[in-house]
Amino acid sequence: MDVSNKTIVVILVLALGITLSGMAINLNRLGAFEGLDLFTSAAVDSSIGVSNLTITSTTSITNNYLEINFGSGRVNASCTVCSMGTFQGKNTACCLTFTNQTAGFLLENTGNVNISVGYTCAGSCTAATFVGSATNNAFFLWAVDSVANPGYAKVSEVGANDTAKSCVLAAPDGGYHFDGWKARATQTNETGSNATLNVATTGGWLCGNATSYPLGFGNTMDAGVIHVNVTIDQTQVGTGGHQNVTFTFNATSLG
Amino acid sequence: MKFKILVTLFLVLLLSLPSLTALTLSGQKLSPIIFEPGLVINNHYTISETTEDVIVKVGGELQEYIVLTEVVNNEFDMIIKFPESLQPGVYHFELSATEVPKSSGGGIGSLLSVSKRFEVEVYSYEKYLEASLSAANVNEGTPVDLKLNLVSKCYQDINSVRGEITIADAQNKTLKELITEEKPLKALATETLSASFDTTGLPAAEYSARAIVFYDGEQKTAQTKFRIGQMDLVLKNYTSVVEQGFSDFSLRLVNNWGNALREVYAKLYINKRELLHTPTTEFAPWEEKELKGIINVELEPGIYNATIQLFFEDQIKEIPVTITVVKKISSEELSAELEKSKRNFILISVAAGILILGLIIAIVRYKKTPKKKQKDEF
Repeated sequence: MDVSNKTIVVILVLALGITLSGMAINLNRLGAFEGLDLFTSAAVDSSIGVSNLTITSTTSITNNYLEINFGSGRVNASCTVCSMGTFQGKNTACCLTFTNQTAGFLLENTGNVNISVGYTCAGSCTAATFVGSATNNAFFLWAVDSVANPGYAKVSEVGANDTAKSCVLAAPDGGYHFDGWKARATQTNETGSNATLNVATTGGWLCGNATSYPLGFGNTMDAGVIHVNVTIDQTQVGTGGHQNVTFTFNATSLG
Repeated sequence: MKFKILVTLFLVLLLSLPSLTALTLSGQKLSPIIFEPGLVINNHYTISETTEDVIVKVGGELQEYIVLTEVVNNEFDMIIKFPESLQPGVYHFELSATEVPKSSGGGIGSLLSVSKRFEVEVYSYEKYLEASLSAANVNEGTPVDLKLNLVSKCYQDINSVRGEITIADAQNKTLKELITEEKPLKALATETLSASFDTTGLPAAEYSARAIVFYDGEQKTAQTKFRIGQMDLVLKNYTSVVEQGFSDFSLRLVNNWGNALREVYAKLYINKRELLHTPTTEFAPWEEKELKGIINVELEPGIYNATIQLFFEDQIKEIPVTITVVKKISSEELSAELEKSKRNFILISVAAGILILGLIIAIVRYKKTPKKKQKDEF
């Protein structure tokens, strides 16, 4: 392939421009340029120098890992099922040619208020429609702390990476504490280990609920990873089809 | 070579593209909103950080009274126009901004949504208030200022509010009855009624105050406790069991005085021998904190009479205590003890097993024996 020096220079300039634009967008999201928007102030009486300061309540969520695509593949004839998950990776002996995905959705509270996190699902949200399995636990979510995420090194948080368990703050009224991320359809004041949640269109809460907002905004404990697990039965061989699922992750705070 | 450069440039381009997504909704915090008939609230919001189209909507209760203006340059207003009347209670509604996908990608994709949940409190239309009583701790001979804090939680003005406060000692014996001034209380307003209690002649101790608030034929109660203090340092707790050799020792002390206590330290004596002299510190008014140190106990295990000396300002206070000295168990001894426990547990388990097995054999034999006898009889 013969490319002239002039073409390379043009492409180089173009690349530099796009790189700088990308950097500007990322920096903006990192918060470097948004400080001016956070505060508004106005002097209400110049004679005595009283100023009025309004601090805005910013509810913000960042997803640091946008898409999980297992690609296409098949179940090895020697296996009854192929299990793949962003938490544990894929069973390489049973899942042939599927793409190994080892990073879940890394959600981070990037606002200045505590939030709860929930999800809804659109598309092929059930095991039956996504992998054609009658087993209802063939497609589920699993929410964990970002500090406990094995795929953590693949992506970084917007703020500093977490160093402590998140989703553990008290309710605003001083009520019970949440014991970290749990994928449950209904989350009550019970504590316990992480549980899985079968994906459903109606969605559910992943951290906190409508009235308690246990995910803080301090950089040391403001993120969690939502892992996806899929189990494909051997009987689904040949059914084909490329299914799409879109999760909408919601951050709720006091208004 | 040039081809490699192009590939490298392409990779740089790919890496420089935004690899994350975010959604932010900013606006002044309103919750909890106190309902007022006909009140109009206009709050401005800004959507930022996202590259997707966003739809905003209101859900939940009271939607009929809320209007969202058109989103222009990612900014919009939420206007709440309250009606003249709502049933008393607590209502909730949500303002949410949700990303809308421009195109459907493959695999498992994600979008973001943010919600702000608002709480609207509708007070009573009858005359109603909430009352709380507060009183600061004081030193001996100093009067106590009592504050009766009133919050109107109704939409009617209250013509007259007054309080009667009864002071009692720890035995619930009434010491004094005080009457506060009388004031009106506007709807949704707050007011404070005051009274002063003369503590002359009363000893240092804890006392209680109970108020009855009378307002337009209704009444509410509120109560609190306060302390009359003196220059004193009170020992609340201390390490009563120590190990032979070097051992931690701590004292929990309370400043029972409404002023700071300076030059505070403690000494511990066992058999008239000084074992501890803590560092010197200062206690803030009414402060409770711990003094710590390490003692070297060269005594045989047993119970000993000891003396704790508390030094503060220019005073010394002696408190007789008992200290139990126990033998120090080394980690090796602890391991040996644990091993011994394990061995004993195994032995007991085996013995119990043999015993149960023997019992089962005995029962089986016992059941078989009469049958044999019966056969023999025929």
